Amino acid sequence: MTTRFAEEELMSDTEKASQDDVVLSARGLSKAFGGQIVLNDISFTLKRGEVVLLRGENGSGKTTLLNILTGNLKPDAGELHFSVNSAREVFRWPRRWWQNLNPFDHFTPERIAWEGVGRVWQDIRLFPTMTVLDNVVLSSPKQAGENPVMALLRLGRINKEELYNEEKAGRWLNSLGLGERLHSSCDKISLGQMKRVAIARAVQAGAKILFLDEPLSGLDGVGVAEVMRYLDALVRTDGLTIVLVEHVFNIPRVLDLATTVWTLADGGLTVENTEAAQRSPRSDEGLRLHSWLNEVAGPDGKVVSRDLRGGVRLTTAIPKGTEDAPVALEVTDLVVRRGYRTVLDRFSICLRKGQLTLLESPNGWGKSTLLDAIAGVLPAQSGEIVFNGDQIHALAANRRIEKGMSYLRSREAVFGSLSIAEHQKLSRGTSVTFGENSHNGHIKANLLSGGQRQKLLIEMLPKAGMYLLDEPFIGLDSHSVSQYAEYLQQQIGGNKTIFMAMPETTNSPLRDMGGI
Amino acid sequence: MNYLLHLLIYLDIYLIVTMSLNLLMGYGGLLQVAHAAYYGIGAYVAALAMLKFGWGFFPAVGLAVVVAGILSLAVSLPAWRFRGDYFVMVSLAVQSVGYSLLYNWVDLTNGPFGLTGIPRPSIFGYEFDTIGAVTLFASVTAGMCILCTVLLLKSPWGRLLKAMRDDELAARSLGKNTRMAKLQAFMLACALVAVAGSLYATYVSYIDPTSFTLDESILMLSMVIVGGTGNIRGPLVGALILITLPELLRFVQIPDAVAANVRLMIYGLLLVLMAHFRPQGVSGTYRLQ
Repeated sequence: MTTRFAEEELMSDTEKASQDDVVLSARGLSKAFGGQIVLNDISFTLKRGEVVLLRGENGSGKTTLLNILTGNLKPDAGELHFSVNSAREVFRWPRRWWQNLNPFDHFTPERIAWEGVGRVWQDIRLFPTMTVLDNVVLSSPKQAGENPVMALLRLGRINKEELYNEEKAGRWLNSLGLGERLHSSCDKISLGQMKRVAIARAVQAGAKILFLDEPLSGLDGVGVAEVMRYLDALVRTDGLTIVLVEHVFNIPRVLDLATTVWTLADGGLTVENTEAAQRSPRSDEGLRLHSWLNEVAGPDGKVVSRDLRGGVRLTTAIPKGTEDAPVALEVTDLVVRRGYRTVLDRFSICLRKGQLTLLESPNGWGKSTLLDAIAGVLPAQSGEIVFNGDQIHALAANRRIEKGMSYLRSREAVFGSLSIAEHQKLSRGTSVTFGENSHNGHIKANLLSGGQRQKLLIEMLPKAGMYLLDEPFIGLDSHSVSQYAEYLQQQIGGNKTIFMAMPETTNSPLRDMGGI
Repeated sequence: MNYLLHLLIYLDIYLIVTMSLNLLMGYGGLLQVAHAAYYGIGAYVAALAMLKFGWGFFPAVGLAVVVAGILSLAVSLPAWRFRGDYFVMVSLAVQSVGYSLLYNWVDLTNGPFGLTGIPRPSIFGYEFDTIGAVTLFASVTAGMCILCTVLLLKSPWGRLLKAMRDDELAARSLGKNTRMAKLQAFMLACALVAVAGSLYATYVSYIDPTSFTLDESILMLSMVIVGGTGNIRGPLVGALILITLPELLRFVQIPDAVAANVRLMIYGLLLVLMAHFRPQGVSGTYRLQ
């Protein structure tokens, strides 16, 4: 399976120089799931120092392609050439049965990592029981101490190696501004810090090609700026090759760094440079949130913003005639704890019918905790919640839903082993339909992409008088974002109440661009 | 006094057992219920080497370690593919097969009648034939096994096991060979429990298959669960509690006819209470899933 290129010797010097820059190339990659073709005869090359933005609609195969390129999934057909290190490795499919018998020739994540390919997962996947430093030190390649015999018999050498790896990891983490969190447990740091640790971990593992799956999603403005600055430094000073998959909202930010744009559509891949991609209609994708709030308020309505403690901003779209509408939800002096930590301390808010309120807060402020407490998923220690004139803070979550609430949680709360049709049967009526799920009722939820799962969750939301939405647009493509925004606008027109939580973007250039 | 020394020897043996099981469960996240089978294999191989070939204790233990290490492939290879409940079922099958072999391979193991007259250990002509000497020998052996385990668990290899337990796919994506780590973890744990088995055989001088049943595996698991996993202290505390508790219950006035059942009920209650109020065990840091 491993082949050294014989044709290399026949190349001209120019071709050879250009070929030397190529770190990864794919020819004719194809992949289908249950007869549905996701990737169809895809070919591309990736050069040293290139920064690629990989984009596409929900279900277009972005994660599938990433999984293949990182050894987590085998394609049905095609070739992959890795040439990060001195020796070139070639993997071809379909494989002969006898090739699978060779235990040293498997296309596995660890084998691809040895080729200098790293991955930062969308859900981060740090080792939560370890410290920040241990997470990064662990990823150092070729550690003699990972052999138990050496660990017992060569203590001196192992200690020396550990010191070297710790020093190197410390340097990466310091450059990422995490020097003071080296000994913090990884489950006790913020989302932005976790993402930076994940990148440092992949780099320490020796990655020369880095695949990042939505590294900016869920980050607030400060977090986005920090991660982008670090990625920029990695490309400029360390010559890393980066492939980023990013959500539509963050695409304008990524285009500042990207040199190439790959677009997946209908199983095919289009490769463009950044300028061409920016000229294409797709560069307008993303919801202009604050313009949209103005649209929701209508020409005679108004949009009112106020800043709260902890960098939180509440913006309410008040259509004409709803200024003195009856109160739909009133939260007074709400105190919510998670373990020993008080997340919300005497929080109060009042929402009126026919209005849309947007809460923008930094990560870790407790926006999901607030929505969980209002919906009854998380108990509140004290305070009052009055919904349509009824005290509901003592009611269980299902009773609150029965009273007319509809709650979309931010996490991917689908049931992996159930099909789309079974999910739809579980729901109490559909509020909005995106279309594609109605044709694919038999597909299990664990085979859906992140965006498709979000669409399914939105489709499952029951019609209600009040919608609690935690990051509702996350993972959605531009068309679906527009479709859902339009639906929500109609709900406001129908005198419904919407309370939406999003990460704040105050310090992000995206706000200046009018997007989120 | 002899009674206390006898308890101390048992404690030494179970310290080795729980440390080895903690290596798999607490660090590797691999719930193994075939540990009694490997404990039995260690006891039988060492006993047979001493009885049939006239080997000394140390070469016999060496053979037991090698055999248990090789036979650990029966659980480590399926662990490459099976996870969670399915892996528990596989190890349960290995436990049943192991016990059946000890019980039914009469030509080799003497079946249900067991092996008698297993000699006490000796070193450079000195025979550990008094209970005091055996206690000293067992304590030194347990101390050495614990030291080796501590060194391993504090090393980068121990860290790799923890990473594999927390998120195997993430560890593999960092280039870590988790299959090899599983193989090594099972090999070491089975080799260690074989040492404990050999120690047991040479101390009691008589072994039969009933000492290596699924019940024994469950007792071993209980020790680790009660004491706690994910650190060095937990299994030591667990072994101490479950060795001393039945002895303490002897002093409680329970009619002989129901004493055994009452003890079992207390075990069960203890496990349920632990699972509810302190799932990480008395002294553990990792909460078993």
